[in-house]
Amino acid sequence: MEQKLEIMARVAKIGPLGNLRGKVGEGVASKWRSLTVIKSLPAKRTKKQRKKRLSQQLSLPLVSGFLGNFVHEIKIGFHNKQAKLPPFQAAVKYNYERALLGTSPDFSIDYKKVVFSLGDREIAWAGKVVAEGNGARISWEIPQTSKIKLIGEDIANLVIFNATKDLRPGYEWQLSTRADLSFYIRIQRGSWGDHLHFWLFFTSPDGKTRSNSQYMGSIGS
Amino acid sequence: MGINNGGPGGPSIGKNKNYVSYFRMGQYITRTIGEITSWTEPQYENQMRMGLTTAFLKPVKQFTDVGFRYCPKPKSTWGAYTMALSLNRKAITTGIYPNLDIDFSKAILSMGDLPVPKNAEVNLTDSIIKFSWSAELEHAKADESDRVMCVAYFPENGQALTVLSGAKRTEEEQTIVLPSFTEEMVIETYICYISEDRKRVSNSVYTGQLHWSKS
Repeated sequence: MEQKLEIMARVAKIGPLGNLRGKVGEGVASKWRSLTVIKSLPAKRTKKQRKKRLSQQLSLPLVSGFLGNFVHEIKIGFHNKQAKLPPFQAAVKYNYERALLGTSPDFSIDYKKVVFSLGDREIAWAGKVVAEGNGARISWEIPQTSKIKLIGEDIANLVIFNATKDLRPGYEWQLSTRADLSFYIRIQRGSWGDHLHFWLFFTSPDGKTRSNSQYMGSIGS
Repeated sequence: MGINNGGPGGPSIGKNKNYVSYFRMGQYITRTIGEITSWTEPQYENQMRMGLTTAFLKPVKQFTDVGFRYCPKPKSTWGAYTMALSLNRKAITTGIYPNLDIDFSKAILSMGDLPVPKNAEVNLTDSIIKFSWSAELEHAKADESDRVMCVAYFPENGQALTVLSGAKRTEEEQTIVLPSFTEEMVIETYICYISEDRKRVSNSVYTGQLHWSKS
């Protein structure tokens, strides 16, 4: 169920002092989606916290923090006009239910189950990642039964995560289509030799439909 | 005398409090709008059955669109997908809520009056699926130009490979080359006939489960 935000005031115009943030007397100013809003201060908590709530306070930032590295990709992958939730919230909800491992307080993310995109288009079949020089070669296949003229122009969208340093590594690559069957990506010096995870999904040339994202594998350790 | 659909004032279209009326697929519809936040137990069960069925039917949608295009439907507002969903929801979900599961052997992917493929079999060798059947040209409705349609469905990743215009009935053999998987895969296979004008199909036949493993 979607929680509704209780707003006290909306800042119509940003003043000469810039964006309003933080406590102002009885209220607290913050950004909510695209608006600057002022909410009343919350009352102080008097009851002891329940275990379930504590465990959520540990696990939710883990998932949203991890996905926060890939906001741009998620905006493409989870784009759905009819959905009630905006793309990023939908992605957090989906992955929180499926890709979270362990029990409180030892949570971790199951990288194989993380999903960055959901759609009807054909997936990247038999995806593979092989370390090559200062980068990696990512390859996939097109099955015989697919219509290559219809899906060959699909644009590849890559997601990389550095599990050793817990960040999104810098990389360079050329925009590739599905018909290319593979591409080389050069990873920047900061992430050489680290444990890197790769995911891939395709979007149609007009950007209207997309495939499910697939875990391609990992390199390094 | 005149026929007045939707009452003496004509049909209403638009929003009135929490009711909305509109025209859809040859019908005037009035329904409530608003968010429902709680459901009863049977409703949850129905949602789960629906979820399992749509997860199975979505990747084979282009197949069922052909397979149910010309089959008789209870209402004029029903499309091919609605028909497939309605039949399969009852047929494939098994068990008692909340332990529901899919019985792939009971799935119906096409419905028609052509005779079903006889002695239909599948074999898996070196990641090539081979469908075989016997032509059975003596049957009154069988024609030489009939073709087969095949499905290989992978429950693991919820994807499918489909052949919508395969080998002719007389060739008695159709292959699907699998992509090079790295993990073990379960494959569910189906086959049916389609006539040359693509208006008549046979019922689909479940040809069995295959296991692909690295070796």
